[in-house]
Amino acid sequence: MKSIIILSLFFMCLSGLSAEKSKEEKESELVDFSKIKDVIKSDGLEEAARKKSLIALEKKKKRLEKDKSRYNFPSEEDFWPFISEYWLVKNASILKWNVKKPDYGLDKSLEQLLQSVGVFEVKFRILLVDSPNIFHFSLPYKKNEVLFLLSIPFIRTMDLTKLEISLLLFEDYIRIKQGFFEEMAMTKEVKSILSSNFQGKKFDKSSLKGILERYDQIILTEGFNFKQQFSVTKEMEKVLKNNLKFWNSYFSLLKKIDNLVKGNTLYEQYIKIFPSPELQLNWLSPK
Amino acid sequence: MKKLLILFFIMQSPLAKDQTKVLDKVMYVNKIFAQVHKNPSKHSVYLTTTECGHPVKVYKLKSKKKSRILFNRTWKIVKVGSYDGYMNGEYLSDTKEKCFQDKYPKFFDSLGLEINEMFYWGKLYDQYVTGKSRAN
Repeated sequence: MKSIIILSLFFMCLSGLSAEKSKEEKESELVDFSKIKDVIKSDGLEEAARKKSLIALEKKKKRLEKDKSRYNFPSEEDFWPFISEYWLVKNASILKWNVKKPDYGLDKSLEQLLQSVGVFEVKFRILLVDSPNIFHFSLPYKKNEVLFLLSIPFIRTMDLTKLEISLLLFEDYIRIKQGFFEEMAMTKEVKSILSSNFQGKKFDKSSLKGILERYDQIILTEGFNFKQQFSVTKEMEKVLKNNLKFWNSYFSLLKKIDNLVKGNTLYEQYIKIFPSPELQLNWLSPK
Repeated sequence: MKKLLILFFIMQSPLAKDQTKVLDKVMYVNKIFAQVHKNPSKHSVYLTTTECGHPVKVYKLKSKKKSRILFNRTWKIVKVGSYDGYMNGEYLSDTKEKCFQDKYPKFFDSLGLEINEMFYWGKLYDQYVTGKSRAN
């Protein structure tokens, strides 16, 4: 007896779980209109029933679409901010961003620099990290928002001014606008699944792992190539040459970085990531 | 001496006799994860982590005598579940926003985020230095 009660309760629960159908859908299932066709026809109810069943069909379609949309992969626009922050969370212990930091006033100085060079209505986020393993980066983020990573030991060792730090970040801004990071980080697998749907399929998480590994490679070991650096440096020249103060500060910044990488073994890796301050100075020097 | 110290701390309490906490409105978390702090500072102790879309009761602190609002600017006095604390107003919206985890629920679930990752994600927003270049 007990088992019968439990079984009946179980089936009742199951029927309750599947009861997500709309009122119209249920009605069209319960009523068999064919048996009372003539009565319905004379009352003009056939048309109403047809409309009702169309509504039910439409609702069912919407419900199925909604259910399917739950399995959507993010669009490219939504994917980049998510994956960049996911990488930051995964690497919190290596990057050491979870520390108390002084207020360097970088928000105001970067705001001023961007406005002075005619870059308006751009939001930015700077994440200061207490690690010499990375230097300065901008990660792919939202359309009109830039996410910067900046190493405190790196800027402290060179004793950079606020303007020099802002110029360093502006160089990263140019780099991300030129799309080099996204180009290098994106994998074929992820590109093919973005904005698609995986209902009925199994989502292979290794594709995301591939992107995170590319982030590691770019930020920690491989960085950018000469061609990319040349393009960024020339763009900096184009923008900053109109302003002597900025131009001189950028030159002085590159000289400071060049001296640091040549004289401090802790920062030797820098030229692998950003090749190279010496070459950048040559590219900018008048011939 | 101990009694004197206790008395001193009671006197220093933010909810002194002439102040009252009044329910202002319900707001919604707009970041993927956000932290509730014990005090109105991003370096203050974390009480709990909230997820995007979570409703939060926001309170005003009013002076009884002048009925003046004493506290409702950057940091909001909030109650989340059983926790009474503070949240940065930037992480709260008046209306429920379409969160990443709502737009792509199965994708988000499939990541299997661990509790410490959610906690760190909430902390991440506290660590950002933010700004915006304006056109004037």
